[in-house]
Amino acid sequence: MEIVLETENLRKEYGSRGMVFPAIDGIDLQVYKGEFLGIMGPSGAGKTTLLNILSTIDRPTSGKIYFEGRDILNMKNRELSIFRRENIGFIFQDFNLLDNMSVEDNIALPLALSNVNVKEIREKVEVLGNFFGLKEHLKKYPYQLSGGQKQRVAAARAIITSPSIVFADEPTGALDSKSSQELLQCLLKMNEELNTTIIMVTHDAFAASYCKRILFLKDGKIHARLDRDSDRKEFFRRIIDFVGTMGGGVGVLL
Amino acid sequence: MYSFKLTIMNFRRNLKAYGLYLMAMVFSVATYYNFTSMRYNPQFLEVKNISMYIESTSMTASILMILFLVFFIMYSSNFFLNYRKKEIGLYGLMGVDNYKVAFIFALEGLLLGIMSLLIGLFLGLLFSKLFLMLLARAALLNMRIDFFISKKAILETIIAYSIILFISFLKGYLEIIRTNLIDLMNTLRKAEELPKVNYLKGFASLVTIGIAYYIAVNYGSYGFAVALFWSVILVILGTYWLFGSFMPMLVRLLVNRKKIQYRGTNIISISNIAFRIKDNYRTFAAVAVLITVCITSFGTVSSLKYFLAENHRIEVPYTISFISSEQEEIERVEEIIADSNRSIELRQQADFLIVPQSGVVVVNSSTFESLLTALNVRDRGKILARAGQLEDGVIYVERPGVLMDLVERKEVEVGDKVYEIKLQAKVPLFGNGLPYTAIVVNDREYEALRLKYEEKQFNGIILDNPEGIRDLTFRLAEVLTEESGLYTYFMAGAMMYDLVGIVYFLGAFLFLVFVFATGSIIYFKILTESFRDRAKFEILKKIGTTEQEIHQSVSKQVGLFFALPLVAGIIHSLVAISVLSDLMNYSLIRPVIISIVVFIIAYGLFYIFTRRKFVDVVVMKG
Repeated sequence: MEIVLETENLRKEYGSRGMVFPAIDGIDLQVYKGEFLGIMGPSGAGKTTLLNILSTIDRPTSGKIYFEGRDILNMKNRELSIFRRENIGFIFQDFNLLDNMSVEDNIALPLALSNVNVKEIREKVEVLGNFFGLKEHLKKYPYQLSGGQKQRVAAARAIITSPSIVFADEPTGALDSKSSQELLQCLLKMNEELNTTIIMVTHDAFAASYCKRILFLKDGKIHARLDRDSDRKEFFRRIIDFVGTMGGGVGVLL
Repeated sequence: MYSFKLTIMNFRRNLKAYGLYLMAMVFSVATYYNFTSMRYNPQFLEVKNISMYIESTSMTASILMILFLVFFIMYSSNFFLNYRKKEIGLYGLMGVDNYKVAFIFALEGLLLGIMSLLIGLFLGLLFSKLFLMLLARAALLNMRIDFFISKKAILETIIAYSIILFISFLKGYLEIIRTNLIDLMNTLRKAEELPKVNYLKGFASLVTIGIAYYIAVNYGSYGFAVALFWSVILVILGTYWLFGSFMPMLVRLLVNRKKIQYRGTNIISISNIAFRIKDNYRTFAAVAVLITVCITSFGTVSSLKYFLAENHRIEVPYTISFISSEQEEIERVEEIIADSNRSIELRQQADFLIVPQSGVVVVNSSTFESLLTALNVRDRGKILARAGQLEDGVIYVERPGVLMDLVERKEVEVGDKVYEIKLQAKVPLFGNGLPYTAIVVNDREYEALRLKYEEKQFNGIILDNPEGIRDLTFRLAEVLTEESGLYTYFMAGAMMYDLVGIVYFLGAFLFLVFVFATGSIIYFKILTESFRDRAKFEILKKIGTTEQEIHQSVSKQVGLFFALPLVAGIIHSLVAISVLSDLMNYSLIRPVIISIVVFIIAYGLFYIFTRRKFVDVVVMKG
């Protein structure tokens, strides 16, 4: 299978002379095309740091990151911004939609910034609007939507550029359980029907059970990995069991 | 004292953020002092014919400065409050009660005010001599300006500013006391809603402005005062609606025009403006009105100056002129001129009738023609064509020195006879040497009038070089009689022009003050907005917007906020000035273009400052 993202001995250290502590401590990782990867771990394990580095928002202290074979750490700021816009999609816990743009404009934003042909943009917005069940809401503004709808708008915006990878940082964190389930179904649909590669950070075992593979992070290192081989309910049970053995207790992670 | 120490600490830390605020305050204090001290300057008060003008401009300027300050302090204190809400909230979290926090922050503002008052006074004193010297120069007053410190002016400045500072201290204090901790922590996080657009008002604004323009242009049929009053009221009303409804309508249209909206950073700028324009429409409208006042008043004073230069040719067409028909006297004059080593370029003689009871002089059309031809008057062809076919009618030549004529005349009385005016003209004829309205009649009519009124001979001489004829003037005055009405280029210089110099200088200075006021108001208003945009630009950066694109979209957004009132203001002032030009009967294109360009340059500087600061705020540098 084709590798989309690969890291070599990735490290990120915080603090200054004498007082350094590693948030990410030598991570080697391969993400394949069409994967739905989950990253779990207790607070302070380095999940968000890892996600920020993989998604080029933050830079590592040392190590290498290859994006479809390209070394992204050599890129300049401006290059990196454009690379990010065209190859990476984001879904954040707090939606990060722009309040003063209509739903359609929010979805169209990355393409508009890249000066894509208007007709093409409109077609794509329409297709994605249907895909995420936002058809009637395209003319509305974010303040008129529910949390679940907002997160679906964010998902649509994330994949409008047909990115190589979509990063989702606790996408269900601000949603109630019903909206969470709807959103996860959407992500799954994206993954299965559009073959989108997704990396999702979560500490919710239910959300994680939608993934195909889960990495457990602890103290900046990959502590374990869990592959889904059975149905989702079974996988969910295995995740809960594993989290229980990992220490820190289920309560913390749920 | 603990809160005082905190205040001092904060004050020193934030000094940089206060940069423009300090500058504006210092400038306004210095200006205020200078305008006030002008009123008390004993040297100026001695010069009788200008002291009245100085006093009234001084009063106007002081009032304007105070008005500006009230506006300015309102906007800037809002800005600073927003800038530091989190900090204030933090004090609250740590258990400092609202009263104490309010006191600390308000005290900081007061300290800032006192500092700017002191610096401003100091600079004002320092520059007062320069200011008055420039004024004296502009007024062509030939005097040395002594360094002068007016205790009265200092006191007045201190009192005026203390009152303002105290009120703003109270305002800041009350504002913080009234806030809740939760508001302070969540400041700027309130969801904005898309403003509703009132289409009716939007279109009404255009109609209102249109009516105002119509009234202004047709001032003749309503009377000048009435037209002025109504057009000003309607323009202000229309401008408010324009920014409150019409502009939002327009921007809404743009948002829905995806072809424009989806072109690069437009999507960011236009969406932002769509949400903001309604919130800020009062500021925009006020700025547009201010710009109109700025350009119109500066345009007026520079037009006046320009107009006077033009007028000079009408008032002083000859280097030397006198009235005499005695050949002996005329020869004496020529001898004296020859003695002064100057050569005569033009020697013009003209007969005219003087009609004392009507205050006019009468010339016949052939004399009129020869005068206009000799003086090489532009566009004389048309006027002379009319002069050739005068039946019972006359040509009315405006008295030299009349700046503008508000009434259109139909008839004129010459003695006991009334003539119909065929044409009203403003051309050089005799100049100030014969300061009367001239009536041009046909030769037959002239002969008839000659029987009733005394005929005299006007002599006009143009020398190769009109400068430096002071001595010559005095020598001529010795030989000529009182009745000869000797008038020379030298005498013209000492009259009217000094007054216009003062008006021009003070007008230009007030213009500067206004530009500064306008610029700082819009600066603080837009920067207050910038804090609400921080989160937005943070998101944009995350999803891959380059720094250049952020700069671009800020330039567009801020640029549009600057440009909209500017365009409205320029159009308003063009209409106002076209009316003025009609009144003066002169094309004022040149001075108007100059004043617009000068304004745009000054305003553009504010745009650059604002844009830079805005970028600093949204990309978290400041």
